[in-house]
Amino acid sequence: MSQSVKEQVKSGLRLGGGLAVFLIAMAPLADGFRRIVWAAPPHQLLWSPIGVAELIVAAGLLVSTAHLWVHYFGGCILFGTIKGCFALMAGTPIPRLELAWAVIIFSVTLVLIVAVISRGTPLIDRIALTVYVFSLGWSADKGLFMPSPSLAVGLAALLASWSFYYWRPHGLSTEQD
Amino acid sequence: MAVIFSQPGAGASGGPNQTYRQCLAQNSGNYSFAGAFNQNGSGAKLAGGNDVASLLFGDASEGQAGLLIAEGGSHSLAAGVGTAGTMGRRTASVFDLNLSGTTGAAPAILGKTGAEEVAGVVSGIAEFKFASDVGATGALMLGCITHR
Repeated sequence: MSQSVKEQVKSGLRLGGGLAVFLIAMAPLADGFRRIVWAAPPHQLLWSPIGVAELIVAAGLLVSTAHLWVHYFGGCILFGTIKGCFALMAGTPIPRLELAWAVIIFSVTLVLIVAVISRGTPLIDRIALTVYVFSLGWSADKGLFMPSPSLAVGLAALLASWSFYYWRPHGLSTEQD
Repeated sequence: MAVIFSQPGAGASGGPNQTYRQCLAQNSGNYSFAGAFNQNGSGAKLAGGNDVASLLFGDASEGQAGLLIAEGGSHSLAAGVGTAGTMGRRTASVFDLNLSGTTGAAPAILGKTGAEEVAGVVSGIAEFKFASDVGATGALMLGCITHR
């Protein structure tokens, strides 16, 4: 086996492992939200030590492997954006307004995720991505990628990390000048 | 989360008597991110659907757009940035009138805008999603074999 093939196999296993961890992390995440958020009356939360522990485990898994699963997550968002545009043009049983919202959310998320991957997914980006996934999970009982305050929080987290890295080099260059 | 990793044929109308093809068609949506977490919303299906299984065994119109991006789109993006294109060209009859010297401003401009890097990221994530859909489709085919 040549070195390049070995490297490809290692890279594939690494990415596959990252995707597996992402899917495994969904189990405690979903059960934690079920105990704390989804089972609670509107605008209220239920206290559940097991639920909190599950969310902490999920957060740890997601933050530590974000640089791997972000590729799969970005792929999902990319496919969602393109398929949403196709569906908007071709027409589907889904209401156009709902589709348009989804495409807008996908597009903004895609731009921010491509920026995250281009930067190499440093710690702040990993935390922002985890907050975004948590924001999706918060209202997942009503449907993923539906416009909601929690989704706005997730997008704000991604935007904040993008702003942090966008403005930081500019600040340094100004100081050097 | 109501269902994690739905079993093929579970709750199926045909039950254990269904054919292999029917099992594939019925469960093509289950072997995906949206299906695994029982998400039936439009957003979840758009982003987390299994395009390979949909195209092969389920709703082809659902999977077609995604696969177009995974295959054609990613290659076009990766190859198209900073590459000259020709149409209707017969290479055997083309003679070289290139000027020697440094190239024009296009590569430098593209380098500054980062278009090539973005194209690489976009094609990479599309290929990863496509690969995971192929894997999930393989699991679907195996699952339907064991189900019979």
